[in-house]
Amino acid sequence: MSLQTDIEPARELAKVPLKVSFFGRPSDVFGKTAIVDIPSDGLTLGALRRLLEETRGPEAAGALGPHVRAIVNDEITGAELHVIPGQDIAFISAVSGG
Amino acid sequence: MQCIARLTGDRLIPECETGPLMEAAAGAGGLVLFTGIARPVGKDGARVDRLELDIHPRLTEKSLNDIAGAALCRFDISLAVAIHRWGEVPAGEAVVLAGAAALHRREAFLAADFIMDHLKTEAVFWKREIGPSGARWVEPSERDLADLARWKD
Repeated sequence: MSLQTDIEPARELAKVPLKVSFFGRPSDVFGKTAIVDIPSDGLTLGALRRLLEETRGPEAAGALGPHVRAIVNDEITGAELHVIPGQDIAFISAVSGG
Repeated sequence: MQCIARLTGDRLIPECETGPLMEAAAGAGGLVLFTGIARPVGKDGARVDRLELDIHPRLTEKSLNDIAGAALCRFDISLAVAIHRWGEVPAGEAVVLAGAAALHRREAFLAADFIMDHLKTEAVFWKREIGPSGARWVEPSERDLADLARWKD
């Protein structure tokens, strides 16, 4: 006897590569750019920060904390945006001025 | 009214810039130009051999344009100048040229001061001082922020 259910196994979303740039202090940890695989439907900036830190290892813990702002498609933001593949994303420390 | 705001990765030679800026200032009664030079010492007195200025591929030049444009709007000037070097800048070399032209000198002096104060705090650069003891990120000082505050209405 077989048991039928309506429950489908959870499907994991495909992952796609996202290139992220770093300016200022974060570049000491991550270099100028990094490529990280993200879900194809995107993720929040907070989740991206955690993913980058985890991928980089223990020395990156806290390197992308709240003192580090994001640039999404050339707009500096402190908001918790949802970002998707294809967007231009960077993490920056406070600007030095000229 | 004209805005000359640009980045250069090459050596910034003020005497080479002056001629074209004089032409751009035609009709004005005065041209004020300030040259910022990479200091050989840091705030703590430590030796600095060079600066390293990192830029964003679009936002840095936009910030120069925004600052120069704000000076044009605020002061009675005909020309606003914000030319900035990026990359490695050895101590003793020019790193920025800020200035303004106007019919009367007072407005030109004020506008140049306004441009420089805003460049020091709001221009999109990430700057490191490199010396014998290593590299150190530089951020606007309390004095820089106080200078900027003078322009807030």
